[in-house]
Amino acid sequence: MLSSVASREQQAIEEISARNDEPYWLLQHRLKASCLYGDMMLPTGQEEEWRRTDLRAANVDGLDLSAEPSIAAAEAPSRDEEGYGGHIVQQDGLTLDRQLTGDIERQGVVFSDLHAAAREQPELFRAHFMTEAVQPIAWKLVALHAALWRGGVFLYAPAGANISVPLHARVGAADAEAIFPHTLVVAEEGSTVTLVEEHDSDESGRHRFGSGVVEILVRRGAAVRYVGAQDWSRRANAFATIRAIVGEEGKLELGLVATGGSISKTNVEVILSAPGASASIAGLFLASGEQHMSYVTLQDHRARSTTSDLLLKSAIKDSAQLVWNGLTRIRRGAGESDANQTSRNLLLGENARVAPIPVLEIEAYDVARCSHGATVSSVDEEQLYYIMSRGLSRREATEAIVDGFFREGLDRLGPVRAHDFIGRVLERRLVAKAA
Amino acid sequence: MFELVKAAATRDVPLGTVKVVEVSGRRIALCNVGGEYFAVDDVCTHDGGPLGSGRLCDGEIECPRHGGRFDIRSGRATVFPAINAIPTYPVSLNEGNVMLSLPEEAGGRNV
Amino acid sequence: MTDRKAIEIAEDGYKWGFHDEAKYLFRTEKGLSRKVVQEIAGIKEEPEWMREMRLRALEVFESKPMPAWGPDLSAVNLDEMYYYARASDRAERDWGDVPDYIRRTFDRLGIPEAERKFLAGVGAQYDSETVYHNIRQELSKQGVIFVDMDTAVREYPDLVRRYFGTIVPPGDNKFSALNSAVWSGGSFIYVPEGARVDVPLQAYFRINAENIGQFERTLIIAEPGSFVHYIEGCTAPIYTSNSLHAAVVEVIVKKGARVRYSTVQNWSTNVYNLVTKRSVAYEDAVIEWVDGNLGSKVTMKYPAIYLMEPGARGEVLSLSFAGRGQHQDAGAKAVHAAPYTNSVITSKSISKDGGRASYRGLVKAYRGAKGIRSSVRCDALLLDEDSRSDTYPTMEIDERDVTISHEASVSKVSEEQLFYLRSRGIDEQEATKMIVNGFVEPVVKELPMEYAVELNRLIELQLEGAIG
Repeated sequence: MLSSVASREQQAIEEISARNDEPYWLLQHRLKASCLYGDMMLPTGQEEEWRRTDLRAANVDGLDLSAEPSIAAAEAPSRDEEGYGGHIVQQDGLTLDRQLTGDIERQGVVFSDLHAAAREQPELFRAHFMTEAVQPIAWKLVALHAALWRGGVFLYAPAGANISVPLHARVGAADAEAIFPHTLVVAEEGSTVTLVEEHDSDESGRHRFGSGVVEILVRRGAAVRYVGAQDWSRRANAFATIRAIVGEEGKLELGLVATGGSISKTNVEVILSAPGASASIAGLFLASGEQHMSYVTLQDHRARSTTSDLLLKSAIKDSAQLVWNGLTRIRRGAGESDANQTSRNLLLGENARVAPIPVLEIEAYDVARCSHGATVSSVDEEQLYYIMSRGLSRREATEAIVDGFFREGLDRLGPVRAHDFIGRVLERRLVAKAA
Repeated sequence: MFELVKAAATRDVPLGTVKVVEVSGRRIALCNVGGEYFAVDDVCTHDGGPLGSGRLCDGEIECPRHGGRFDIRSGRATVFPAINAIPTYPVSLNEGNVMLSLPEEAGGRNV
Repeated sequence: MTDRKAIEIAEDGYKWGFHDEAKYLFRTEKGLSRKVVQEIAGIKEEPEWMREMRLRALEVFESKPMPAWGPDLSAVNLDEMYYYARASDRAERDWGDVPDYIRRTFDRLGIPEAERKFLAGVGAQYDSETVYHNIRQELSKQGVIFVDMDTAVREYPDLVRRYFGTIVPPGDNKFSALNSAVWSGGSFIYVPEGARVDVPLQAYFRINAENIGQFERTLIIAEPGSFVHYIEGCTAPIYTSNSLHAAVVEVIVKKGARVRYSTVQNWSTNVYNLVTKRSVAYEDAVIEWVDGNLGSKVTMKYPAIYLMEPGARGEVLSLSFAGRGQHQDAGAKAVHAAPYTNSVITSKSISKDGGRASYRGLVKAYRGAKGIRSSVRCDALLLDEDSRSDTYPTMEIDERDVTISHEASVSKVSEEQLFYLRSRGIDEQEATKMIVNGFVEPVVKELPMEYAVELNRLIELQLEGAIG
């Protein structure tokens, strides 16, 4: 059984590599990852972060892993890209469109898919791709990803580059059953860059599974804002591994919005590796129907005077379930650090369930502040009646409150145009078949 | 509404024992208590433990994971930490077989 | 004597003069087996149902692995222990052999001479036998039963059998299984309907010839409308050579009744203290756990409240002090299995000299538990660079109509507060003491005054490092 999967993959790998003119080392990287995938075990389900999630979602047996994107069918859905300094549009791992403003390009910024980066910026690519942030060995589905990834987004900002206008990526799936999106952001010393990514697929397509990776390297004094908005098909199980390493005086703002997927599990790790590093993470999650969303976050303080702040807001409708395992670790020596986790959960559906599990492990004595808080409640009745007294139905009033609940969080994502997309998606899901 | 399903042969469930079967997408523990047959969900309502691997004692079934117990007849929880009743299924015998009445809609195991 | 020395001595009981086995009235052979369990049941002349339960519990104990989470239990050698020993009149120790740090604590706390010897397991019986006798007489007028568990099994078998093991079954965890197999001693309290026991009942009063609380089993039944406050342990450090303690406490609070259970644990720092405490509260009933953990090498204890009917309320106040070489893994569990129930959990912990204090808790709301409220607040204070604190709270909420909140913080002594006090001429050590005092006050004030006073003094001593 294992060998037939391996040979299936091997074929797919060689095709992908050939199709994209990949250098030899990259083909080897893929093949090694494929072996690793074969050797690694799936979690047993007894691990704390897996206890409440159906492991069967991680089973790729029977999935078509090697869809060759049909170019004919692929047409970039047009969208107004005004306000962005560049965009990339992909479907099923194939890049359909790519633009970058001249100004930005002249500053030495690289913004392309990973295949182009491997060809045109080989040293940069090789130095950063799956070396520091996320490695194939992270877990079994990341090894699979390292073998079969295609498309991808590479954003490289050289030292001192200051890009105040956000860049935009839209990654979709239509014909592929399994997708492996990969984003790699490298911000060199003192640079500033913003990337807004949308992950979107429709229930009418073939998308059933995804294992994605986001790597973010924030070098000394650099500032990166990354916003990822996910609205995958509700027939697709989605796994994502996001890991960011923030260097000295570096600053990271991470914003995650999720409304899609059937069973989805996302690991978010932020490493504050040197003094003065700071990170702010905001998550807005709207789960409905029978969705299961699992988030595992890590704020890892490894140096003095580092700061992190996590705010997760979730609204759970119908019979959906959200699980959050959050760890803040302040290691010995990471004194004068400030860390916080806040989780706010609104349960809207009769069968809605949530399990917030925030954990603190503190080994440094002179912490400035280390705290966490979590709340769970339904919509406040008083607030509801107040709004209803203005002529709205109960349902409309509930939606208004939840909308307000998320808007507060949206502000944390900063002034990015993606608010529109996010707002639209949230609204669409919110209003859909209310419980 | 309900479907009548053969779960096992009576000789497969000796006196005082429990046998776990999978029928129509459900895992069910068949129990023989004093010659009478009973059927309950195999998944403990407390923490998802394998009830079918537990002991039968005094008309109760004990979950091996944390020792919670349920009345085999009514499904009611009788010993903590079990709290919610365990679903039970009507059992009948037919020609040496243990038959179960199962609700017809698809019953996948809940996580 | 340096801290290290004191602990070394504490950890190796043989240096104390426990080598002379003849001094025991009786002791089962080393290790745990069916034979040992049968012997225990035999010595106690227990009814068949209790013997059967013990033997079954032994099987469960053997089938369960050690917990894969929590403090390091690798040094616990289950085969090298004696699981039952009946002490003589406990003249087996010499006062001179009691560790310095314990003797010094007795001095500083002003513990009377007779009590000291009793606590240290030395010399003649402490005179509380008389006190106990008098209390029993008072209580029987109300129909209140307060005896040790062995006596209860003999004198009130039906009552015991109805409830024993129904709240914490042997299968709950490895150490409840162990306790269920070899339990000895502990309290049995029965409070009839409407009876209010005004004087706190203390475990201290219960003299029995058994070991000091190695595998105590306590069962408290409060009938509707009744009230009782039970206190176990004491602030003075208790030396025991038995390095494994696995107690089980089951508390049933029926309609409209109230039970408060206060514990102050200060076992010597060789002890692994693994306790399962659980209470169930019915309609409009109230359960309060006040839990102070000062001693032991490792404590794993999470008093639990199961709120089973509307109007039930539970509160847990937990205080942990983790000094050198100690790991206090404590917390609470609140399970809401009915609507309009309420839980409040407050945890305060202090870590010093490399000690590690962890909060581990659960708030669970079953579907249908409408209108419930739960609030958890954990605060941890780190006093120096080597110390460590963790919080592991879990919430599982399956009902939307709830109000649940959880907050935790870990910090060092506030610079501002210190500065303020020092600017008033108070030296740093004094100022730290005052701040710590204020920090633990919410929990300490819930203890009866004598305990509170002693506890405060004990904490002060720990801070001074005067007693190691």
